[in-house]
Amino acid sequence: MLVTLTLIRTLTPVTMHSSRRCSLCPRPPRTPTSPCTTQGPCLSQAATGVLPAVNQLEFHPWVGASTHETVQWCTRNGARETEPAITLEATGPTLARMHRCHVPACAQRGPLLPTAGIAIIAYGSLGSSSNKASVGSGVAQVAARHGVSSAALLLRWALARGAAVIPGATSAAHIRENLAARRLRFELSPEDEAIIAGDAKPPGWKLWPNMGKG
Amino acid sequence: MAGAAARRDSLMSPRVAVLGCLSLSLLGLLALGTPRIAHARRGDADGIHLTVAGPLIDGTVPKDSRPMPRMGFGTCCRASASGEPLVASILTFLAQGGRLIDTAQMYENHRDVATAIARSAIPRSELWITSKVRTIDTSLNHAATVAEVDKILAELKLEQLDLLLLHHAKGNGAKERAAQWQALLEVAKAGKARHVGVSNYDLAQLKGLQACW
Repeated sequence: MLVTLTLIRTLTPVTMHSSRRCSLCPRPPRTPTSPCTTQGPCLSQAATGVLPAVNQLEFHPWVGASTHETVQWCTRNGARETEPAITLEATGPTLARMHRCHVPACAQRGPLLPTAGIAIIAYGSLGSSSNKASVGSGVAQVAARHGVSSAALLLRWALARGAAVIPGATSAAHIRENLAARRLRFELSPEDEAIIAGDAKPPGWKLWPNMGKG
Repeated sequence: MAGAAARRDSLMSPRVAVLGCLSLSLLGLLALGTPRIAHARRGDADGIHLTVAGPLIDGTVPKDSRPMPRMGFGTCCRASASGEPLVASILTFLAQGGRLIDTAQMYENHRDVATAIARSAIPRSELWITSKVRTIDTSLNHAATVAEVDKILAELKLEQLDLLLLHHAKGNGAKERAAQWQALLEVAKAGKARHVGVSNYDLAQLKGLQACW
């Protein structure tokens, strides 16, 4: 019995049963009394503290540096700045117990709720419908090296970065070809990546004017 | 700390307590509901497990936590993205094993997507339907955003979206974006969307949504 108790003491993580802190709880805010964070203007809105699950963006080798930065933040740092990237698999009561320690933390202007990061859905992977054929020469070169079409290479490029892709197509052949990219498992070597990164934007490849302040 | 341990012990089954066996004690601890935590399975071939907004708000957890397919079918911006050609191409996509259909209010093809879904006869639970609230230059407030979501569901003939996005940040101020985001969280809580997110948001705009104001 004593052995059991000792073991439990040693092995049981400190949970919300004994403290408001646990490995899944946000750390207490450093300045709990601060009414506003520096992240935005002070609005008279209730805090959500909840990040979007997804950011759907134009994402292909020819987007600007700020989009690459956004994608990296969403898939890596976005998760790391909040909590370790985790997926919670818990029963309702367990999760409810856990969240008792999250929600008040946010109400105190504390850090964020746990998140598995912000998933990226890439659109415009193949360019607009009018310029699908005109991929960059570097992309075509790498595609040929792996024995796939340029379209498949571009889809693989986004999938390799953890993004989901949503290519549209009209013909059954193109629909099938796009779907087949799911099963491509080849890795892009550093050399492949360098060639693609150095590839100039193909003439006529239209970037969507969807970002910014407008 | 001792109290916590005692409470845990009192919940253990008599058999475990009597034996005091190391392995059984560990099993007992697991059985007491230690949260099972899996590291994010972002690399899975079968899909991406998205953050669920609902439980983050009120502690409820959906029974269904299917991952989002990595390969979807976009329905924007081409001649065949409406009417019968769209229905036919979606049916081809579904017949080839695709399951995610991406649409939006701006594409004006929700009814065609609904037709394709109905004709495919694929169970709703196998499909993943993403749509987006038109937010560009609309300056939607909280209530108007919720009303637009109800329109989307009616047009798609769905009770629930798998993923619902704010289509653009552009054309909205920080206050409008915050109101629209809070509306989406409310919609998720009401069960009208399993997951909520955004589209075309830059880094600063994303961080703005997350801030505790």
